[in-house]
Amino acid sequence: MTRHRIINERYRMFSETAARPDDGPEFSVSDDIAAMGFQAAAGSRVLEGYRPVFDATAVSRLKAVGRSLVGKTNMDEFGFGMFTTTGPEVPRNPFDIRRSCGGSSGGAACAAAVLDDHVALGTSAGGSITSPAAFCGIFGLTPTHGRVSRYGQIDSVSSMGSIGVLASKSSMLRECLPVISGKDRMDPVSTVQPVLKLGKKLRSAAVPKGITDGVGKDVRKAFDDSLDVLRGMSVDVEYVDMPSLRYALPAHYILSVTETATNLVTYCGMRVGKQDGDLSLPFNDYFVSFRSRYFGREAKLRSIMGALMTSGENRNAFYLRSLGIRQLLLEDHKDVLRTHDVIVTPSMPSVAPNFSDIEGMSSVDRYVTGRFAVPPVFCGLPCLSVPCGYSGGMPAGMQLTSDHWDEGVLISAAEEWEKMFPMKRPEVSV
Amino acid sequence: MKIGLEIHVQLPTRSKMFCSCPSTGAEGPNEHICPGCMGMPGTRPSLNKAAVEIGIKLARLLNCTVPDVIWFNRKIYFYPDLCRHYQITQYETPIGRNGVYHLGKKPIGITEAHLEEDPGSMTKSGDGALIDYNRSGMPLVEIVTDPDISSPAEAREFLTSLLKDIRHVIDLPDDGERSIRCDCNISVGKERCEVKNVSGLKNVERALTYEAVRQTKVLQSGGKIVRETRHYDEERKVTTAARKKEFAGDYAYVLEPNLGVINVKGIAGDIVTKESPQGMVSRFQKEFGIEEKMAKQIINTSMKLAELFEHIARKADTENAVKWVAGPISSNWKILESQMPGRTDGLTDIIIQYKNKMINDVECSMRLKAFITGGTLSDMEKNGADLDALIRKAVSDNPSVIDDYRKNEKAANRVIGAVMKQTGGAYSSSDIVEATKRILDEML
Amino acid sequence: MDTDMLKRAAGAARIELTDEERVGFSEDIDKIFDLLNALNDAPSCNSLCFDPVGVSDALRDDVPVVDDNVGHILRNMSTYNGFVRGPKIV
Repeated sequence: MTRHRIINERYRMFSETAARPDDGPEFSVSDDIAAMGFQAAAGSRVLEGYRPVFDATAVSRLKAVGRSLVGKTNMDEFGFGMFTTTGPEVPRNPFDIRRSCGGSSGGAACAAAVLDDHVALGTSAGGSITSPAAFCGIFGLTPTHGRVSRYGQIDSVSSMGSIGVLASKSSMLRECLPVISGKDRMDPVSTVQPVLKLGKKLRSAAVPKGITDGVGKDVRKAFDDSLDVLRGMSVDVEYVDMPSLRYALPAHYILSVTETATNLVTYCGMRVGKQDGDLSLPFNDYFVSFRSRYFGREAKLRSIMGALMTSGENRNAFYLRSLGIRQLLLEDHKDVLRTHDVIVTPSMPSVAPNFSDIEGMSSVDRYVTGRFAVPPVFCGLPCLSVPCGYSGGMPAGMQLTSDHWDEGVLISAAEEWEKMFPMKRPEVSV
Repeated sequence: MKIGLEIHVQLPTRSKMFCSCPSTGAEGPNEHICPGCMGMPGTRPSLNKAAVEIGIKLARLLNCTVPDVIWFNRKIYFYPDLCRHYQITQYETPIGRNGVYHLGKKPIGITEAHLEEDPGSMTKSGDGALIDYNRSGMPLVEIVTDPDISSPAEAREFLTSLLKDIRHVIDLPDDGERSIRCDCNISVGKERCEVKNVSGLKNVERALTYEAVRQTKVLQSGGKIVRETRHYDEERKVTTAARKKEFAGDYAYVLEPNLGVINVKGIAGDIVTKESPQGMVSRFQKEFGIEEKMAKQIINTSMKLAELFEHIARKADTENAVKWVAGPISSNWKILESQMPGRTDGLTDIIIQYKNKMINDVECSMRLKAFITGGTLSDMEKNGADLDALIRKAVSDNPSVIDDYRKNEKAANRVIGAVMKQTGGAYSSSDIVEATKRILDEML
Repeated sequence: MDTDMLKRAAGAARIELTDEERVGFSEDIDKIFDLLNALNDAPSCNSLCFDPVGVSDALRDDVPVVDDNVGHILRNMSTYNGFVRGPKIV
């Protein structure tokens, strides 16, 4: 058995590993990124057995520079979750296996935290990189929407989010982001990007006033201490008003369930993934029975919510309204980013919770843990989560958001941060 | 009776609308497919510029307002032929809206024309369905008319005229590769029914006629028309109600997030739209003061003949253009067509000589024929003289023809028939017809 | 959450809920609407952010390319004589 498989028995980060991994630098991708030779099921039973006939552009580009793909990582079904508890397998937090890795790219963060020199690609459309990066104590970079070609990314939400990089060292962000970035004719959205520029130093940071209200004491302390570390790096830290932030969660919810509902209608037991239904049924009954049988609870709930948010008069009242709110939020962010390099917030309102605590949380309870992680992605802005403190041995994270296409300042910030902040690696006993 | 049509026109692009698969030439099922048009997860649509350009041309043909910016929407539709179960179409920003099409003097309002993709095609088979996705992702323009059409016959007339215009304006070949399908909305009373997916002009007229009779019968017997979707059964020639839930539950029209917006204004500026045949008929009437019937006769023969007409009308005058284009040039059009427009100037010169009274009309006619057929003038003259002599003889054999001809032009057919029989194909029928009429006119 | 409304929305989404699911979803959806109510006092905004990075005019030239992967694509699905098999159509 390979070392990856032994480690996987304990942490369960991989949904599938390569039979014979090559030597040399390696990477993994979350289960929603297409790679030849691997199943791509996006954590869903409806896609079991889907083996794409093409590599996602990010995958082919990393392979082309000599990294080898060692496995696919576990995630929440279609990215619906903040704890990676809704997919086929639940990865365990490397700092305490009774706790969650965060999500939805939980397996990716786990792999990046546990394995040496491992680059994990994950995806986010609402905090799915920031959350697990914070909970697993690593760097998690979510690029600008469109910076990385989404060709080969099985998305539930399409007008925001990105494939991003999770890694335990800042040098891997600098190495990998330029490789996976760039225009790709297979994804028209990627073709509008300007060239990625690296090297811009972090000089100024804005903190939204009252941002830590209601945040756990331990996370608040870690965050406040981190602001001092930033000041020590001669970064100007200023408090700003961002009144629209409170609308981000509800508006993002509407838009993401709406787009999700339309993306998930594809899955009806034909052409892709599971196709074991009874074809002698009339097509509508066939579709209904297939979808009811194989979609997980959250996928059903979001499909229904998406239908609700767009039918009849709701289309105006909810769907189009959410697009208006996004415009407000975008303008608010742009205003702040005109005079500051980044906006700084905690990554998550707590450290990684125990699985037993997660069980009792409702769908909304889980969703609102993304209150800091959602706004940048909603606006298509790039963001970075860095580890910023430890409480009871569990890492807390800080999130930096920069302007569209300005990932350069985030990568410089990660490098500076790594020098100033003593990061801890989990003890791996296998 | 009110009839409104939704006409789906497949556009003559070389590749599909959102992927690069070829649009024609597949020899078997599912040959021209790729992960994109099969809706495989992780693929992205990539918009074909040519589809937008052709959309603009059609919108202009229909006298529609073309917006400055367009985008696409997802229309959810659960059906096995649609790969993603949503169709990429247009909702807020159709490529054209508020247009009008002039069917002769009658205006038919055009609600809108929008770009969208075609689904695959299906056949029933035993237990299930068999699907061919070669058609999946083919570009379409759906033209939606106002309910301005007042009979099934008018619907057919409208479609015939519109399709002729469309074929010309977007260079849509009539090679059977690209289909045109209609959804037909019809109401005899207050409520309407929609007959979905009817192919072919004849079937549209038949389906509408059946439906008009059906609705009338229901109303006459005191019943009510239920608003519903119906299918047309081509074999049985009847319409039948579709199962309700088959088409229930449309929602979303979410803005397609993978394509962004398209600044049509910039693209439209570079596009030159060809004049449609119907547009040319109206213009000829206005510009040259000729009858609609004459304009149609010339334009329906060939757009090249119409261009020749226009050239001669401008260089000589309208009267001579009508006289010679509708006469000897039309008669010999089969020979001439393949050589146009290269021979335009030669023909025009001869007609100008006639106009300037340098030659008489018999000479003009001979010269045109010689020029067209490549024969020598003396051959023409000899043949012409022979033919004239034969006709005069036929008339003198049958003198009552002149009086009859005065009452009804059809009497000339007696002479024409006799000469044709006698000459057995030595002269073209159009030459005989022309010469007979000329001689009879002289004798009146 | 009104049961009929939930049923209709589920029907539109082609999902059939068990009785147990229906109860749980009703509760969840009530909580979701509580969350969405936060938008009631949000300022109005006429311009819609359809795409946050402003994608425009991403067009492709009309050049056909035959995909050489057709056989592999069809291997992912159930086929008969080159046709893809689907459920019964009416």
